[in-house]
Amino acid sequence: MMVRAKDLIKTYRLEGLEVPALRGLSFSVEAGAFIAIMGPSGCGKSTLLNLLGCLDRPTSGTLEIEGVDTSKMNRTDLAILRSRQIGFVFQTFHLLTRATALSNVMLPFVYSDFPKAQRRDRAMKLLRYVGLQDRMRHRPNQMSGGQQQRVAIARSLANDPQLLLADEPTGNLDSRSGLEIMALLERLNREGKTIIMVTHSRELAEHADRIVHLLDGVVLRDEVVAERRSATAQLGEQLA
Amino acid sequence: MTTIEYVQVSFEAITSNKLRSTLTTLGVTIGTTAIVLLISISTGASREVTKLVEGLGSNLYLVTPTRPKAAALTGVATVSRLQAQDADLLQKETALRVVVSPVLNNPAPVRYAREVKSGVMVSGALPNFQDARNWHVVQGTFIKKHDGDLARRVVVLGQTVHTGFFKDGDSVGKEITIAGEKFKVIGVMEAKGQLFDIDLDNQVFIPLSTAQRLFGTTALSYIVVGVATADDVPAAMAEAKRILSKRMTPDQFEVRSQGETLQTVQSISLIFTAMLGSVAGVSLLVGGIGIMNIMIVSVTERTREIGLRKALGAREPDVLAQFLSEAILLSFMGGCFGMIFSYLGALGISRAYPTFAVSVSPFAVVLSLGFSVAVGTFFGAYPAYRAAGLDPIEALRHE
Ligand SMILES: Nc1ncnc2c1ncn2[C@@H]1O[C@H](COP(=O)(O)OP(=O)(O)OP(=O)(O)O)[C@@H](O)[C@H]1O
Ligand SMILES: [Mg+2]
Repeated sequence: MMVRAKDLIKTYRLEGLEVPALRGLSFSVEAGAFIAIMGPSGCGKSTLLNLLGCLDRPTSGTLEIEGVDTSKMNRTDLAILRSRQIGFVFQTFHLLTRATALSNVMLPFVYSDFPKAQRRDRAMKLLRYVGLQDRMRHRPNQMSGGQQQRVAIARSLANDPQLLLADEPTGNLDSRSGLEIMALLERLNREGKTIIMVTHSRELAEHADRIVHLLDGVVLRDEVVAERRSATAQLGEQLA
Repeated sequence: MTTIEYVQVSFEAITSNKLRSTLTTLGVTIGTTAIVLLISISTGASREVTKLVEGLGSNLYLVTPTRPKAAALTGVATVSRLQAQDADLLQKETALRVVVSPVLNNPAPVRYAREVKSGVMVSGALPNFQDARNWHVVQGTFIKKHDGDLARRVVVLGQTVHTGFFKDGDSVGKEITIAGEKFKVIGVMEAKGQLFDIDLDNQVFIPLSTAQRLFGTTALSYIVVGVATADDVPAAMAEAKRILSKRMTPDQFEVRSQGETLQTVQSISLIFTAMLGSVAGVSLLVGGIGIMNIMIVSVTERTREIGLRKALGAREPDVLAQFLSEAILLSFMGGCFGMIFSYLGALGISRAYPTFAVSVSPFAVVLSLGFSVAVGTFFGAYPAYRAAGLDPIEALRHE
């Protein structure tokens, strides 16, 4: 099991007020799955993803990532786990604006033990993988949003994590660029990565094999997608 | 992350905002410049003092007629109450083992063949001058007792006069003219070097009796008293004051050892030290606060970057080290600029005062660069600590 969450409670404290974001959420994700998380704004999707990404710890409950309980880990161990096992893709890309695509992809190596001599080659390979072989020396402001998001995906793959977390990865993109990103995620999923993606779009969610619906910090419904969409195929149709 | 990577990342961050970084380093630049100049000047001064001590010798003292301090060493003739009897009295009544040697100084033109040197110090001295002053001949002989008894026209040359006139180094036996009278060269003194601006070697020695006749005065310029050991000098000086008070009022003569001159020089360099030291201290403080300020700004500006780095696996010590090394590098660069300025400053001082050799010592460079690193560490600590403690989620959300 890639992820096993049990009775997750996350309560934020805001000026003495307790804001419950997750109220006893349980769910699990098998290795190799492609999960879409949906739900109305404020239902706790990002909160859940942050917990899954070990950026934060639950107020209570247990969260296992690849069989290891992370809910009691200290911050340093969580950081190490993030660098080795988790790749993040953000809605707003979060690239270093002054650095080239290549440098951005190489950034995670700085915090892992990845051999120095192989860093550049690996980053170039990843950029080729996401189709940016011609943009390696470009800075984020010299690239389209879709290209920037592809750089971010290449970066998330740097340390070859098994789990990719994407919070509205296509939220800032037009539909075609979004579809290209989806195609990339599909391909990564086919090649074995476990992907958990937050989205507001039913259409995009249907690219996953499961949709987890949240409401007010708990799982409302766990839906197996009957007819998966294929971004690769859709792009092919558009071309034709 | 390795040290080199930290330095690289810091360097990129610093150079991406060149003007801001340069202005930030200004305080540290001034501070480190002040430190280096401070050390250079005070070592220069203490080198002068050392020369002074060497030039004078530590186991002697001087009796001079009262006059402005600066003139005491040069012995420019003024109306002096100091007479040969004073020297005799001192030698007779002392209970200590001392060598009392009276000297009459007068600048006069000295000529050899066609060459004339004006302003050479002509010193009338006794045979015991060598032992009292601890200054000896290297060629020929010094003035002998019978030279004095007969008021002979013999002369012992200082090194500057010797080498100036006699390019072949062969002066003993030759004749030179002093104040219009012919003198036979009988010896050459060892080199004594500079004393501040005064070339001690631009001096010639003739018998005291000859000098008294030549210059038409019996008044002495000074009496040099050689004491057995440096430890006996204070006692000997006290004794001299007591003995000489029988003939003169205390305000008519001075008894001084090189220790007092040393104090004067030291107090001057102390003022310098205090002045530059406070400039250094204040600039480093202000520079440090400037660095802290700019680092806080930098941390705020780069909050999202910090959040991202944390999301990608940066641990708190990684972030701490990154911002600390940036502050240190910034401060260190200020230190490096300071080294350039202090080198130029030392060069300028040396140009303006050629005898006052100011050189930038490696010790001063290492010390002030060390200071710049310390300032960067101290004032960079808080911003770096703040960066390290940022919550990754909130940092990523920061606008
Ligand atoms: N740092 C915080 N402090 C206080 N409350 C917070 C904090 N972060 C989230 N919340 C609250 O927790 C709840 C869940 O927020 P979350 O960001 O997970 O929602 P979301 O499902 O991602 O919404 P959206 O679709 O708009 O992104 C919200 O009510 C939100 O106000
Ligand atoms: Mg959200």
